[in-house]
Amino acid sequence: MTTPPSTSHGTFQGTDVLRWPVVGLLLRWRHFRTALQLVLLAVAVVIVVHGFIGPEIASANLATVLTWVHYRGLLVVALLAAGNLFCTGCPIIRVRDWARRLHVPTRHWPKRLGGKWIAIVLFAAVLFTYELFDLWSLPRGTAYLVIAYFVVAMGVDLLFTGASFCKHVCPIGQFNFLTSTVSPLEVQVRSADTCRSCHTADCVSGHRPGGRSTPIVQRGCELGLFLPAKVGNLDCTFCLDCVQACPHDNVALGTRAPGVELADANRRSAIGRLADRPDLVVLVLLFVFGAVMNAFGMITPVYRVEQWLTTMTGGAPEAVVLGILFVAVIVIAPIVVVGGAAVATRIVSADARSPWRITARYVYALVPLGVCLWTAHYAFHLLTGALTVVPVTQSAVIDLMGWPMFGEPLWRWAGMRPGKVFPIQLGFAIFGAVGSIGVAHLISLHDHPKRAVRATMPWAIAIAIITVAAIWVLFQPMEMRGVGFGG
Amino acid sequence: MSVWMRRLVVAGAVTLALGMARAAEAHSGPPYPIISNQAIGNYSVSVWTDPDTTDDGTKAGRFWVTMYRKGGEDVVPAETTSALTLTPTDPPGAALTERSSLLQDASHQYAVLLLDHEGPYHVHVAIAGPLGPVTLESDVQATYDLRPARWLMALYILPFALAGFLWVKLLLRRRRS
Repeated sequence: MTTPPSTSHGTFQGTDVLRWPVVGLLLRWRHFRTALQLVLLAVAVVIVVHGFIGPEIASANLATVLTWVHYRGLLVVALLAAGNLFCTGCPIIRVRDWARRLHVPTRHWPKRLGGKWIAIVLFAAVLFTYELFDLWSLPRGTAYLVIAYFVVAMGVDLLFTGASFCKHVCPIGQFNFLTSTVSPLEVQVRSADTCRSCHTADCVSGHRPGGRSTPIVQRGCELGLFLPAKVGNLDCTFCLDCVQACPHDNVALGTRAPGVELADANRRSAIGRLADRPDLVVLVLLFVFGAVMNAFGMITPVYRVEQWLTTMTGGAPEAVVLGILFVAVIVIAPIVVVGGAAVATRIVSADARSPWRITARYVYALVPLGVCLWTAHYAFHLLTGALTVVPVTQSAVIDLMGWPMFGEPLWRWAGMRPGKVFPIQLGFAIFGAVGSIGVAHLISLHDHPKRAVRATMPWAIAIAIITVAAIWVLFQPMEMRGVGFGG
Repeated sequence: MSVWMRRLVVAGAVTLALGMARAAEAHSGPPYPIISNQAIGNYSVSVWTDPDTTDDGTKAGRFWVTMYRKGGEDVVPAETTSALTLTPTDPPGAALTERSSLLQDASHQYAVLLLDHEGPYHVHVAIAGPLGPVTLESDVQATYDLRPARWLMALYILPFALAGFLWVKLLLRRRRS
């Protein structure tokens, strides 16, 4: 099923999913992405329409159920089982491509706005407003959010070339990029030797069958990932444009050791060295501690903390109280826990680098834990509410058609009992913690080969602290996603 | 990965799991409606429930009462109250009554009751206020949360821990220079 791999450095050595009989054919089909995008576009339309015309009860509205229960749950499942498939099928890019037939952008994304800073601010803003306004309980709010997402993406990508929105703005995209670092699949070069003899670089510049003077018939990577220098899944939307563009059929969707890229210190195409990217460092911290905060914001004890803070601040508005909580969890806690680990590593391994440089190197080891904490949280809602889509769809059909075309809603269809899901959540937290310690050790083996265990220890302790905090959160009674009675 | 490191991680994972298991409490369950948009009197009423049974005295039978003015989604007057009465039917038992508390407004109210055994309960909802009194009837099946026993928790998470070790092993074997 797979072509024998080359043995040269940087050359693909695993299984190439693109060579599989059925799945491979489907993935290589020229219109595969469009088909997937159209399906998700239809879902987005349903979310918006039912969000506006459906009931205000979140559990009975497709906008809230599909968005906050199913979309997010399936997103992490796809990322852990395969790769960044939801970026592949992003319906916004489908609409954008249609719009770009009418208006072709000519400006390049401003260098001073480079990196992920805008996306980081938006990611934090989404986490904050989600808690502040209980977005999961607002069908119309959810519909507005989806529309806003489309409008902003259109605005950015009709003004600037390439995938500017995906690379610099989209908070979901950054979430997917980070999570995909532990995905089992990666778009890779099949043979490095073939790339060395290639002079057109179609994978990044686009395919021109008639030479440089002819128009592009297949675009290359819109995020600027030059395949021979690409490392890992960061910034890869799994669009497979490179697969279509490469004239040598030299691109694989190959298996790999999940997370190994997080320890890679090499310079990578369109990204540079991970340790030289303060924006990515901050993004990882937000991703990991945001996972704890997001779950924390949904448990009963948080209301007690909020009440206490309200009293302490003399009756400050909820936004201020929540802001204090956010600063504590996603700013102060990372500084104390991660900064402490960096200082300890500096001491025990006699590392001459500054604590910031050590942090910038090791912080990526926290990604597996962050991924698994998000998964534990989303899996809870997905598994306990997986079947709710059936009665809610039946109810939506009644809302739209005026009669029960699919029968009366089977409201008792919900999903697994939460108690049964709990060990899975706990398991994911442990799994992520072990994986993070593994990546930290991998980094230590590279940076401190003679003192690897000692260098890893502070990070193992930091990971244990975050894991214990997250498990404590998991043990608390949780407000139900999509119920709308949170109060 | 050295033997020492492996042992450390195993010990850490098991300690974590057992230590945390001590704090186990019942989770809330997936709510579902037992009364859905029922027009009665001057109201349109929905009642959603998450009827968890407990045997340690914890109130976990949760009920959400949503009331709007009939024919629309206008909030009911602030003086509107609701109360739930649950009566075990098999075996028959004493009725439990709880007045609902307000959530964000009078249209969204919430009550939690102690359901001390699994089985069917009859639900009686009484609403009173300026729009008039109404009562609604329904039934609910109470069940345990089904969280495994504490000692079983360690067993359940063992496959995840083992998968984690395999992952680390793979990482170390395929590490890039």
